[in-house]
Amino acid sequence: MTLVSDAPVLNALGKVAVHGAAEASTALSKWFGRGVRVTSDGFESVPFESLNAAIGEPERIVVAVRMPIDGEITGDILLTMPEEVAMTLCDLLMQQPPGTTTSIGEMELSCIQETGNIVGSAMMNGLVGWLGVTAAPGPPVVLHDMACATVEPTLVEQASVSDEILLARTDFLMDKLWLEWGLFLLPSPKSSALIAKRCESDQFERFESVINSVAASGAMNASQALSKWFGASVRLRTDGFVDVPLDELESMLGNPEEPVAALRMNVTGGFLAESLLAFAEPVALSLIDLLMGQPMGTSKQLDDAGRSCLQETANIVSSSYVNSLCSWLGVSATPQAPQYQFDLAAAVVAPILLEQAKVSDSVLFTRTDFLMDGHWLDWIFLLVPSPQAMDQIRKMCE
Amino acid sequence: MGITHKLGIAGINAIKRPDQIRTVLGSCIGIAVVDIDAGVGGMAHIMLPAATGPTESPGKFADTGVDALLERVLAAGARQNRLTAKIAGGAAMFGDGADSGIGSRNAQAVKERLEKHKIQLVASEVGGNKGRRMCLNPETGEVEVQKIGQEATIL
Repeated sequence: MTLVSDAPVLNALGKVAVHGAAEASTALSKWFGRGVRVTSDGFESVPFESLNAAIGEPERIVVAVRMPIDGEITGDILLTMPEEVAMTLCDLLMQQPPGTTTSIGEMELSCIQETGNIVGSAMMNGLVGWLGVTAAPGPPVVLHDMACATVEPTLVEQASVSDEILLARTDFLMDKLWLEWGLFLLPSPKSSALIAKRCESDQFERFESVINSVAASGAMNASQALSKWFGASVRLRTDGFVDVPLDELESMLGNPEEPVAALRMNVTGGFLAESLLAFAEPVALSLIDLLMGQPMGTSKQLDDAGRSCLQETANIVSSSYVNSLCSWLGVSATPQAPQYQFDLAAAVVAPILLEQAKVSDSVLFTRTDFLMDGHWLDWIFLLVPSPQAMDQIRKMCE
Repeated sequence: MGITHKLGIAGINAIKRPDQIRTVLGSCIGIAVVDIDAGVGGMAHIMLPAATGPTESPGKFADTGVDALLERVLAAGARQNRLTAKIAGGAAMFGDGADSGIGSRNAQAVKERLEKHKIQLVASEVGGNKGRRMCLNPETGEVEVQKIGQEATIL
């Protein structure tokens, strides 16, 4: 028996986790005094045999903070990080040079405990606001032990009634670096049912949850294809589709005046869209070095060979997304050969938004982050469905 | 030199010498059973005292877990009358209040189930508030138990 295995419900639940993660970003950025971004893949239902893969190496020594959730929904929030990551974090919070903290004592534990408290409380605020329930995290308890030993007690309640564990996982980026933290949200069985019920009600539009799951499956396809292409582990993260008013667009796209190398691909066939992959020039050059197997810094300018490397990369990303959209819509469509442009960011992005802008004051598109071997890559990928394609998607959802 | 099999949460596995098997335990109980003469042993990673209904993961519960573990080691060539058991784990990781004593209830349930099958429990290291790494060598029947920052003990 499983708590929730219905895909649309899991997708709807995902919105809850994403909302919690957004609150946590704001709170952590304040606490650290620098930009922290917290993202979540949403909820997944993990069978026991796959749990170790989900929670990380079981014997690794971690510092973990557990917060019980109490109120109309109950469950646990658990923040874990390897002890060496915890030490770096303590240096940062105590404003010491990196490497100063060399062991985990009372002081370090209380630093991490407070960090856990901030993340957990923000996550809960996001959750209860979104769900319209009252619940709050109880006092955090901090542990210094093996990863598996700290996670186990939080699984017991779900395990008593289910053969899979329903959990939401979260990633943390600070100053564009991936932090090796794990944040797990584990609702109790009774609360899972309540959350799922709320998610099914009218306030959560099916359209949104469907296109977000399509975006997530596109990102997963692209992760596999790019990992093969680079011979390194590449992971794509997407917040799903976002609907952004035109006047807020620029702030979403980083620095609009930065010169970027961009590959624009028209998607034609049974599904019309525009897609764009863009990199700042230095990022594009190091990507070319990586793909050509040459030392970093070898490429000095974007020549023909370099461009075709970038074009192939763009083709892979775009095709992966289009394939997952098409298989869901039951149509066939293909991205056309990528057109290369080198120009200011705002200048290359504007043309692909035109079709939607003609009929709407906001633009709906997917935004994607790229992580390679744990490092954040400064790439932008946008997929912008045409207005006709959006009607197609809406029809499918009815 | 054999290989060391890793056992996950709610896992059950049987092995033969020269292989070994290990797991990490918090509030859960690790049960190691061994028939030294046959060089066959096995381990289960139990989360809860008793099953409340049918389950696809028998390793979660003390009752279904012990039964399934015995089936596996007997199928691998062990003889029931030569089997002995050792257990470890059952810590109150987050204090007794938070875990409602699940560790000690797990330990009790495992002991009762072993008794029911007339398997002798020859050693145990349960309780406390620290996680444990547990490793079984079916060649010698030794079970090594280690908490972080402490020397390993041999059961």
